[in-house]
Amino acid sequence: MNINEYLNKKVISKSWLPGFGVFEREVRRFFAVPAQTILAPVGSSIIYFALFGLSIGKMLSTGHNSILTHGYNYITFLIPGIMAMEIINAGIQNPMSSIMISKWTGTIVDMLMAPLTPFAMWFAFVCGAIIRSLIVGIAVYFSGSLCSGTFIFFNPIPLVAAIILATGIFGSLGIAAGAICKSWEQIGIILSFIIQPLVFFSGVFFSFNSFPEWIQFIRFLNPIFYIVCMFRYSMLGVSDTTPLISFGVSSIFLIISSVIAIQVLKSGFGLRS
Amino acid sequence: MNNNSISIELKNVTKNYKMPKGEHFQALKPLNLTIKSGECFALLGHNGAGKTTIISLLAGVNKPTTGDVFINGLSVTNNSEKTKRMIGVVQQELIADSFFNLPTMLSIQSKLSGVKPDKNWINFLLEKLQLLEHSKKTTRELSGGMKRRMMIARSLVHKPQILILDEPTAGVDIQLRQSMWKFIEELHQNGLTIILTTHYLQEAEDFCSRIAIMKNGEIVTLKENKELLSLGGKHRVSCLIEVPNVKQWIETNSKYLKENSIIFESVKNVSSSTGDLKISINYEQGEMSSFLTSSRKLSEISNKLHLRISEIFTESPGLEEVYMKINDGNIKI
Ligand SMILES: Nc1ncnc2c1ncn2[C@@H]1O[C@H](COP(=O)(O)OP(=O)(O)OP(=O)(O)O)[C@@H](O)[C@H]1O
Ligand SMILES: [Mg+2]
Repeated sequence: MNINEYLNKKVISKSWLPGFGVFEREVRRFFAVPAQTILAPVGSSIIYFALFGLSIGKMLSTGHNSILTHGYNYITFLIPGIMAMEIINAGIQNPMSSIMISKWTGTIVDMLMAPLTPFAMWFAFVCGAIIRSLIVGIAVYFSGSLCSGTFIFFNPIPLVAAIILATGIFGSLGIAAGAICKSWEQIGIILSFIIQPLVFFSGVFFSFNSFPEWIQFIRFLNPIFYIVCMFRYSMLGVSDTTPLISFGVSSIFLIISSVIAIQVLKSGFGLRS
Repeated sequence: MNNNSISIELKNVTKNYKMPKGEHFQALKPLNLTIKSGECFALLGHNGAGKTTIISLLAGVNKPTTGDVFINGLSVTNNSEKTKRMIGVVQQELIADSFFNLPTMLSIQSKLSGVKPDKNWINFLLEKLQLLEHSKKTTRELSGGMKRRMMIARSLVHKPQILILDEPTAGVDIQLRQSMWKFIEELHQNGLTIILTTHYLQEAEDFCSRIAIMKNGEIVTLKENKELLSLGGKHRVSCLIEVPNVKQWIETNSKYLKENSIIFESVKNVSSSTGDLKISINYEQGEMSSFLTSSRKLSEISNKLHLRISEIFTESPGLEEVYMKINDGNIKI
């Protein structure tokens, strides 16, 4: 065929394709660096399981201390918490580092030149993050189960909903942060001084009920608390608050964070000049 | 495609960039520009003149501060999802995701542009741009010139109606540059509107029908290619001559030379070993009789004055010459 015939051959255009392109690029990107995106969270979760499970874990789940683990064996109790934590990390880091790298290398222009609505761009980034979260979640589940010696039963529907909500909330925040932040240092600050404290004060490692009364108010401000509750409820049937509240509040957090992300993308703040 | 329909229109467009400390830098002063469908249009200008800024507005990457840009009648501000599909941009910067090999990268690029990837077209592009043998390489593994050609393939993967080339040949070797231009010419003949920025002015002169020259965020000249070239002066027959004392020689002969429409200038820039003075006479471009008459006259004069000629040549004003004169303010438009 010559150029004329090629050019006269009509293209098949679809309005969902640009979003799908971003999604595919996101997924391929994290698959291209699996050591960093998949193996690292699995490795660190195994360290948690091994470290806590083999040492203080034994003391935590017995007698008076069982309030800390809702009466469960500590590693079993830890699995949903660590899954939630790693999924939150994957959710926030996937779009955040992707956007930061794109800004750094200039490939962000490809995204800005694509016929994408801000909503489609948000959706594509979040879906990409969800795929990574699912893979990380499954890998953490298996490594936790191997460490504890039993495969815990889980209720798949609330668990998948929990993964989607968690990744949706933190993926959206990751998009906003990736666009707004001007340096990796600012990203580091967000991860170390905001996300990490929220994770530690959310009940990942033990039930939030074990914290003193005066600090209990934190749970209301902390979306991760509700996410951890969703995971624990889906996998163990127990949690620090009722499933309805944790799913309801998480949904509200999802709406707020996605509106923020879409608005940031729409304004082009940090992306366009 | 209707050749008279308007492809691109900038109406009262300005662009300010935000600077640190809340200041603004005006990269584009109020600008109006119309480019017709099927046209090959060159946008020239010094580094920082604002060429890439205009392209970023056409591509919908940045938004104009005031005014609006229209692509095929659609506002880029209000209909960017539609206008973006119509445009392919070869960016000045060599950028692409480094994880993918060429076919994968092009396939993703096609999707990003809203078009289902066409494997045959992708292969055709790779072949045309002589990248097929490098298909297995990731973009990181390509040489500079290969990356530049990859940028062209990317910009065409969704078959745009308008192709914008921001310095497409920088760093490409001569042979490949020629084949690249042949390809771009084919695209143009098949109806694509082409907008080119380049610092190789010969490319603009050879391929573009209209040329705009920008200076500090303004279009200072916008003319048909031929018209612009004619500003550089007439075509001339010239010879370099050697004289013992240039100043004295001019004093003695200037009246006679002027009477005979001979232009003379002392040559400092040309290597001085070949002559001291250049004398020239204009002729009409493309007319053999005019050329012969002028040459004969020059020959008569040199015989009469017993000139020692060291070199004979013709001069035609090129775009580079015109460009320099415009930039130096020697030509007032
Ligand atoms: N993102 C930006 N932020 C601030 N200033 C910018 C930005 N991009 C360009 N500029 C400034 O705007 C002016 C025009 O830049 P532009 O890139 O359009 O020039 P150009 O004509 O393409 O130059 P070149 O031939 O070097 O590519 C320059 O002074 C440049 O410093
Ligand atoms: Mg430029």
